[in-house]
Amino acid sequence: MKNKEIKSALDYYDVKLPDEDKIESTVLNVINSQRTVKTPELSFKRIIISQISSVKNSFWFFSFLFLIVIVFMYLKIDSEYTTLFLFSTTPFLNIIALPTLFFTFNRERMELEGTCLIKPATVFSAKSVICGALDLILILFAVLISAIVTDVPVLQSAFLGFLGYTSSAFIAMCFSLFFKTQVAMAVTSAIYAVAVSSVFVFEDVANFILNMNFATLSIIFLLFFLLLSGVVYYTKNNYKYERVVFLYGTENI
Amino acid sequence: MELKISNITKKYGDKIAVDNVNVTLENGVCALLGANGSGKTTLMRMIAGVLGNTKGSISLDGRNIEILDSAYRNVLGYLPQNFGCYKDFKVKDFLLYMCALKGLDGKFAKKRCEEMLLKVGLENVSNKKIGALSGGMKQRLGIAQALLNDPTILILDEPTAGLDPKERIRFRNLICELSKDRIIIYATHIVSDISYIADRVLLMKAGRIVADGSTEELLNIVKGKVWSVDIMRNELESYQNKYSVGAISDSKIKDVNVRIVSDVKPDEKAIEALPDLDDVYLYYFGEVAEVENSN
Repeated sequence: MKNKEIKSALDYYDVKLPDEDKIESTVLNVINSQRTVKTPELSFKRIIISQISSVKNSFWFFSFLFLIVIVFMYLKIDSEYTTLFLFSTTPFLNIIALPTLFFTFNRERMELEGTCLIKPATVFSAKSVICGALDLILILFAVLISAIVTDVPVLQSAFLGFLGYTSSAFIAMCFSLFFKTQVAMAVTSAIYAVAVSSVFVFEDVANFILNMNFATLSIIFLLFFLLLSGVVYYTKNNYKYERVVFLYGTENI
Repeated sequence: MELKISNITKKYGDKIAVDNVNVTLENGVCALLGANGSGKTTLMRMIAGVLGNTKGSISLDGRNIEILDSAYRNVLGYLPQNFGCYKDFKVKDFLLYMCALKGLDGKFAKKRCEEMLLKVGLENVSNKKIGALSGGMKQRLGIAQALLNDPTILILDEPTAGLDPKERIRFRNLICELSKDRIIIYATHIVSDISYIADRVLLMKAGRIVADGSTEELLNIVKGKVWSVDIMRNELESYQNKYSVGAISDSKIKDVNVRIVSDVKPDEKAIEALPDLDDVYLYYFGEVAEVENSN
């Protein structure tokens, strides 16, 4: 039979191709059938749990230190500006979280870890959730103590605490995108030190912050929250080897 | 299993690091041989999925690796050229950390780490910090981490750098043992590393694959072009200027014996020699291949 005749004979048969997912699962089954280590089923929750152990010890230590200092200061300092202390200490939590979030942001590590099942971007997200969750608990705890010890309304304390946190997190993340982690930490610390000094040295600044109404506070907080969300999203999407090569150049071709 | 690299090109600005490479790889050891700066590492990074390509595609069994995504990375083992940035980790902790990134579970991960440490002979230093290990030990640790997930595609970029001759032999044996049922891509500029273990050799020059075949096929290319000639020491410079001169050794007849790769017979007294991979390297790159310390 000629080829055309074979083709026309075969045209009578309606062959339904399997969908893309089935083709993919067949390919994976064939690949995995040769291996002793099977494809693990990963959930984001499992990734978060797996990453807890890789969070730097310094982060746990300084977070704990933050807690002790907050409690100690609230119990010892009796001033109308006590709540401002909360506003000024929360940026510290961001600075200590940077090495944990960006320690993979290194050319050599990124090259190796970029080939693993869990992408560096996913690891970054998992670590952001871990650090963010702990910071949230610590700030809420500080707000609670502030509410007990001072006369400042709980909502205002919470806004001040989270405003300090989100604004400094935004600054820290922006610097981390363009500089090495140590540089980002140093620059953020410097900005933070100037801001805190101005709050405590200039009475007008302190009064302005303390007398901001809820509407103003919530708008500023929302603005920084959106900016922070944006920079976190951008960082996650650019947490890859090419970004590191762009920042630090490449050694070998 | 088939890993197909189609028209892959990578540019860094105006510089072309990898230029339109087309290769289909199957199970076995495929050696990527080339001088430093020839584009080996860039090609390896693209195959490993770390680096995006400017043009072209890479597919595993007909499926683009970008679409396979995590499924592809799950079957991948990679040892990069530079592997020295985990100094503060203990050996065992580093492997457990890599297990976590490869999605391996607690108990299974521990068992797997122990197996791999035993396989690469690092079981006695599992509690040492990586910064305290010798270059060879670090390299073995790099190999151990690459094998944690039992990869079906193993990419090794200059894996024997820093290994002593004994470790090199041990490593070659390990690669031979692993090469069954998996694709091993082995980039090196040291010919002796791959002479005995490569099923296929790709020669890379200026971002392009200039020769592709089994060791025998590549040797056939230079068959009849390798010469051995005894010369006086004062003639050496003129030979080096005129021809691609390889090994130089003592001669019983004259001062020195030189090995020359040339399309034409360099001297009437020159004798045709049996080619080896070093000659192939010399033929394509016009320079002497780097040899391991033991030679």
